[in-house]
Amino acid sequence: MEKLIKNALKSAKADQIEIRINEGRGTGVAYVGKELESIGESSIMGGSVRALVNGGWGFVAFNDIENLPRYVNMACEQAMLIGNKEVTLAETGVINDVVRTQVDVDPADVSLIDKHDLCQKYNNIILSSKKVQTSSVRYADSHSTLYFANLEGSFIVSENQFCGVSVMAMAKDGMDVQQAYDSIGDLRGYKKVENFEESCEDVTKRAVDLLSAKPVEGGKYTVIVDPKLCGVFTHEAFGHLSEADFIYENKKLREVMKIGKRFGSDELSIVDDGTLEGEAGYNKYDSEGTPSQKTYLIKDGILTNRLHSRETAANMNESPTGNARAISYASEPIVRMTNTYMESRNQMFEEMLAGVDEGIYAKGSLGGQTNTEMFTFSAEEAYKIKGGKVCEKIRDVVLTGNVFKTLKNIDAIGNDLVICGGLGGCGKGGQSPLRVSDGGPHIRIRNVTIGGR
Amino acid sequence: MSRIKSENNKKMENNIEEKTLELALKNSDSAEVIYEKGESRSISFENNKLKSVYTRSIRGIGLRVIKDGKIGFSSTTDFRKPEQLVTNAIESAEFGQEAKFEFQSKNQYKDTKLFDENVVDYPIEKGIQIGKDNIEKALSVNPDYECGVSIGKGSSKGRLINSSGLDTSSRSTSFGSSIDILLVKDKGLLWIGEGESSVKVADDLDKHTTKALRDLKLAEKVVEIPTAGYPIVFTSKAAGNLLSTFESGCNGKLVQKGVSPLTGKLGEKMLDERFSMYDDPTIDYADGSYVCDDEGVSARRTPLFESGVLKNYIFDLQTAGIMNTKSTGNGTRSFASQPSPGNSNLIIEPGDMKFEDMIKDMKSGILVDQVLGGGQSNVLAGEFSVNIDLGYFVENGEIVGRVKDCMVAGNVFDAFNNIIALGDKSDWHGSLKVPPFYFRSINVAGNS
Repeated sequence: MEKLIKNALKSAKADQIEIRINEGRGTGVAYVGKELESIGESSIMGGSVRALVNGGWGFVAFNDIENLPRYVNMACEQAMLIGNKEVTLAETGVINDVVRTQVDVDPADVSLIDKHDLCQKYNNIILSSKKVQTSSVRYADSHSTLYFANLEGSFIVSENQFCGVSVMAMAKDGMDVQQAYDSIGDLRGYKKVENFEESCEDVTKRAVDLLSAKPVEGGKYTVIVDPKLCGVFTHEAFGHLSEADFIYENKKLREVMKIGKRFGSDELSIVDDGTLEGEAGYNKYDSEGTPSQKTYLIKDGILTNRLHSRETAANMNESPTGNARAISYASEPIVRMTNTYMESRNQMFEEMLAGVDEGIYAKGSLGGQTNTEMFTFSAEEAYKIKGGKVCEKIRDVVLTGNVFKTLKNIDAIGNDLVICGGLGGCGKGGQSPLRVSDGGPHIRIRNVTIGGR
Repeated sequence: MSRIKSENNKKMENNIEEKTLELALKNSDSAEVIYEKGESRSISFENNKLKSVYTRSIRGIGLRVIKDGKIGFSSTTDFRKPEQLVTNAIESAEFGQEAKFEFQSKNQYKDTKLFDENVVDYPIEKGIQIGKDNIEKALSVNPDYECGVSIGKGSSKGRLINSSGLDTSSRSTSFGSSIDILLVKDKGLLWIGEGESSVKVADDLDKHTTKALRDLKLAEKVVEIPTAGYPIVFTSKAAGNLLSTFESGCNGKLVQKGVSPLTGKLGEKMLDERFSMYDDPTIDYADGSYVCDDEGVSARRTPLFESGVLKNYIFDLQTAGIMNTKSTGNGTRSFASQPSPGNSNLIIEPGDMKFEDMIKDMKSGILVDQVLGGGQSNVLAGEFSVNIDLGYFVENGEIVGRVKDCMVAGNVFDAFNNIIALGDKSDWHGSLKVPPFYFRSINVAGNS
């Protein structure tokens, strides 16, 4: 493979060429209700070439890697169709490395029958409740070997072993269907997925309990969000806006997102850290071969940095951060988050709660979306807070915010940071789901708009 | 994926499809091979400038077997090792679900147009010029606009062969063009996106640019509104977000699992009598059309709701088998997955009110054109709760400004029984053809 790639690079006429080849296999098991919907192993082999010629990018993706030299030429020809501006790339140095991730138990060493039995065990826990209508238990692992090479002489081989499981319970009463969900997934190995019984019991109870919960009333609330939802909030509320590909060629946005601008209180710090080994968003190098790093996006309330590709970093005269990530060989690298979290401070959850006369405690996440200014994030589970106490369960809590206002409305940050991965991921530019982790502590936000009947 | 006609493939007996099928049948009772190859080329402008040209030439193969009455499946893009693919599929069958169907034998298919030679011949340089022209047009209105344009074309080939003698091949094309314009203001951002897709060349970007520019003007002023119930018009672009409950509710898989809220309700009137919705893969040149589904079952139009009455669920072979019914020709998949019931094109019949008249009719109401956060509430139960990404406040029949940082929320089973009118024209948005909807009252969490 190394020979094939290096030979293909020799003939190239371009300012930059990157070749990425992915060889991989994956296992999946899926139970939905009583039926085993799918089980088995699949494999992939594919690659892509990205060429930069006179400031234009050409990108080609393919499966027949034996024709690599032809695709190198094609990418160059396409790039020449554009060639109308100056683009420089930030220096990352020439890197030759072989990266192997450390796993506790290699999923490849576990037999398909054991993976099946594990899913069946979780599925039976959920289905054992009479009030549950159906279940969904999904297991997925993937083992991939990624080859990266560029014209500057870097050659990196990285091995990744992702493994995770998700469980869902659905309860039904007439037309009302309620569901609860939990998932884990990261690069640590098989061990973690083996101890998910409690989560299965938990989602079962939560789904059933939701049947008797009342829908939330729309309006503005003081909200306490748990670490999981804080992670999604951090990702949607600020993470995406810090991605420099959105900012770098927009003069006005560059002013709005000026380094040094205040976005929150002195307590607020938000970090993206691709070096957290084992986390879902871990990479030693990004898809452009740049080493990943820990980047403070907001430190003590002040905008301090942003996420970069080589192109955006050079354009803005800032340092590359190793955040150019491609979801697979068939997609081009774009600026993405890795593991993104809000740092802990010293508030105890109980203190936070005591300060709320009337509000909502929102837990877990059904997802979030942003148009970079406005964002939504959905709680999986929610309770009313009255007189500093968590009271009855409510449902359908979808929160919305505005990046320029909501971060400033955080008035308490907890001491209990949790970072979570999972089988889901982040979507951007048609590339979804990219493995990422999010996290944060419990936080309290004032004046949050919640939709409701 | 979709297929046009059976072809005689005797010449190509050494194809990976035949080789895989032959290998699979040595160790299984019956088998089916799906092959797909897609070629696409697209250009993208970012921040007013041409940025990249992409080509994707992706292919893959999937193998489904039935062994000792149980289903096995595997897929690969690595054509060097068909033996591994077969081994994986056979191993999977040891655990697999009991097969409740047999592979389709030879079939007669009705012809539906899925291929346009003009797409294949379309020079990408033409797309570049169209992008430049439209960006120039936008910048002549306001040089502060930041535009992105994406124009892309694709063609795909597919083949499905099985041990029951089915051998069907297809060719189809696709084309898409879109523009988005961003305006950064002191107090926030305004982002508008418009576009279309088709089997045929759809490069009339100008009409979308014109609409986006008009909307940018309308949205210049932001108005504050209190939390309350308002009459609401959803444009056809935004209305799709409200339909996912009906789409998933009619999905035979969810009915089989007992979690569809529409389970056991066939023949019941559930929605306003003006509401009719069809699944229809037989429309020439539509995005979601096919002549037979991804397991070789012929395509047909299926009424889901007619005059508000629930008429049918959609099925693939296996789910239909479990439910003791017949496939509706909705077995959808890619080469990398097993079939499951999925919609082709969703067609909502139009009503009788002009879109302009809906706005004129509102004394104090809201027009919603883009939403944020769709699909993240309890969709199955009909709950929706979305941020009004792009919407306007209407007073005495006139748009007076943009509403921002607001949520609109409710339940679709209530909303679709509380309709003032459906628009008199349905528009295509991808594989969905839908009119605007005018609702009597939906709750909005305001920004004041």
